[in-house]
Amino acid sequence: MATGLFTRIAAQGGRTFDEGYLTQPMVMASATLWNGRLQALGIYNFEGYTLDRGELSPGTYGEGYIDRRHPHTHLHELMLGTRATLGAARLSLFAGKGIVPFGSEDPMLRPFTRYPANHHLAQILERAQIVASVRIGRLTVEASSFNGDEPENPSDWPNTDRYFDSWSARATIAAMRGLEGSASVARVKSPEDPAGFGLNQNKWAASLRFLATSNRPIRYAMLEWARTTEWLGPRKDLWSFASGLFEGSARTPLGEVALRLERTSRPEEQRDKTPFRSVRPLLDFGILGRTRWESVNVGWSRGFGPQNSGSVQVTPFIEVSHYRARPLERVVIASPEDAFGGLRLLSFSVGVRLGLGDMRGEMGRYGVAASSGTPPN
Amino acid sequence: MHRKLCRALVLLAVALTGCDDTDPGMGPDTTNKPPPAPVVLAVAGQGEILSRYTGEVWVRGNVAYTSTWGTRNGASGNALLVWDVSGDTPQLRDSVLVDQAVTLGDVQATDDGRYLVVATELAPGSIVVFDLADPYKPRQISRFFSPSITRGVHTAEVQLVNGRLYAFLSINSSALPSRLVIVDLGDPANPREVLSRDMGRPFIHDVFVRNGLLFTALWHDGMSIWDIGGGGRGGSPQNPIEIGNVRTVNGSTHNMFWFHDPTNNSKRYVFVGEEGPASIGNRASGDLHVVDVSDMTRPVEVAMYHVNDAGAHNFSMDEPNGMLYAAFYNAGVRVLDVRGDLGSCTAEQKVSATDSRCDLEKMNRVRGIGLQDRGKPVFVWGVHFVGGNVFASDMLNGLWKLRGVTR
Repeated sequence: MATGLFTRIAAQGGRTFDEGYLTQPMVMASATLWNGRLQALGIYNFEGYTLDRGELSPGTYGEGYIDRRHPHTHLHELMLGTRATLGAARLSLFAGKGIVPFGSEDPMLRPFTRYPANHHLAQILERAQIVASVRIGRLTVEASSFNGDEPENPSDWPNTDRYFDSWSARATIAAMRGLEGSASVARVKSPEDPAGFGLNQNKWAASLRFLATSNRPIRYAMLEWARTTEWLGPRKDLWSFASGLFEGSARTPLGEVALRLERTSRPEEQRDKTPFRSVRPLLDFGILGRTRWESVNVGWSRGFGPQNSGSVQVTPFIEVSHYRARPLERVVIASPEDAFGGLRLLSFSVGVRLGLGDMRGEMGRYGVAASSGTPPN
Repeated sequence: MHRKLCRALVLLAVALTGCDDTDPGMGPDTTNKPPPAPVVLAVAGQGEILSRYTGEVWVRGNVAYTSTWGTRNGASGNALLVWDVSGDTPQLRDSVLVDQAVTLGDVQATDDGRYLVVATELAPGSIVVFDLADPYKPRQISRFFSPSITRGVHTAEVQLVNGRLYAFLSINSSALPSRLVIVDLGDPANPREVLSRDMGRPFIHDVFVRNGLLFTALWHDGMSIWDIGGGGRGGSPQNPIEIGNVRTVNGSTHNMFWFHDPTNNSKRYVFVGEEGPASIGNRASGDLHVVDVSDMTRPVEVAMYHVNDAGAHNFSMDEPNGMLYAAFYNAGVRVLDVRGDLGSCTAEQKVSATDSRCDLEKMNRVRGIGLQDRGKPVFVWGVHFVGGNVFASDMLNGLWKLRGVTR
């Protein structure tokens, strides 16, 4: 799949940015081996070639980008695993590089093309990991041990000396048809300093998700909460970042419509001259204050032509967002106002998603943790 | 009562041992006079700067130089500000803009007052050397770039080593190994790199140079002491030889000051700043640590000073009076009486039952507190004690002139 995207972002009383991208270009593959005893999942992501400057995305941060979404690594996922049954329990064990069992579904598979601000609060991506999962009835529990360091660039690999220095766990319960709840916890060692000396993170997330299993108009809804606190040595709870997000989509005669409401806090970081890149690791491990981002996002999309695996799937879309950033501290040294010229932003995006073949229904749930449903695009 | 008993026992022990200490003049405070309460440092005046964030300060005579940092309202920290501080209120006299700089971190004049050296950060890092023939009109005479410092110069210190001027640069703004770079400024118009050596995990943040010894602040690798010409190990700026190292509590070793007490010739203590994580402009963390370097090969931390919800930054000293001035970011300026024995204290004066270090606050060593009475946030980066006054660079508000503490 790949998405051609044009975005205009205008700050009230500030600057206007017009940019175009080829975003989320990737190839997904999966295979079962040895009579189904082994399963392999892989995603190769081309954003390192098409999105080097990042995608304008107010409120997002991480991996050295700020107010721009970072490109993902070339090898986004390569996981290999097996399954077994033990009494009433179904078990699986997967290893490789992939999405850590924490938080909610990757935004790439959700109704909006443009990412929410809470990506680094509600997901942990592209880590070398071992994931053990057990499913008993409606309850699934996953646990992972992984490397804490975030990728430093699209070609970067998890640092071998950081393997298994972090962990996560997620419990998911399928409450009734299409409705599930999940809660996650993670401890991530020094994600932003690859040498391992930086701030550590304690993370929590919980979500309630509905996925339509019949042909009803409401296709998808999710209510999400996430929180990350940072600490170093004896200095616990230095500061925290939190997010609340609602997202939903519905089918109408004119196409799919989607709504996202979000309130997410984040650190402000020292920016370089671009000014959408931040210094990594943060100088002296200091942040420059915190801001809270509130946004309202609406979207429309409609698939044209046959939506089957043998055809090219063409889905034009429009997304409109309004953002407001507020300082959360008395002094915010580096304000997004420095980049945009204002703290109220209006964003308009138009684009086309192209797909060929079978799109995987979900990402980051391996083995017995995988479900059959997916948020519809 | 217990404190008096302990003091008496200590006095008796000292008498019996004949004060057999390798550091003449050291010993516990022998007076029974209660220590004075901390004073509020009187503010003489303020040179307000709201257009840029203020960085470091250096004062020579009646002239102060402040650097600028980061970006404020679209203005980069590329300005060197020149102040007339002869009166109570610092008067801005001039400014110099440095090309391609986002931050001018360190600024320091040479001891003879002829030159001023400024560090630039982020990439491309450099140091800029100014001639101070007219101290109010710094004139750039050279700018040193090198592949070793491209990432940015976080701090720079200039000192004489065996009569020759050198700059010591700390390079750390990258995930790459941090690095000490030493530049020969014997001919300031033609700086010449003489050493580039990786050290510090993850940072080398700062250095302190005195009497041919180099002290390096190596973050979680602690503080190392190197012979660069005065340590008797054959070291030089071209080839520093490590003498000793200490890992101060909590790591994050940030800056140092080696105290020479002229009243008793003691050179026993190095004060180490710990820069813990901070939300710049709001709150900080990190203690002041006291390291006993009586044995340079085995330095040991003996005392500390903690301020709640604030962190230590740069230091300056009034050595004749034994007063240490410490910038403490959001906690303003703190003045500590550091004369005498800082490593001996009663059980009550120790940090805790499980931490045998002495707590300078419990030892009533705090003599002054500055800029906590302004009714607005301050974030003090640097201090410089000159001529009875202490000049404090406040990232948020500019340059303050305060009256120093008298003994």
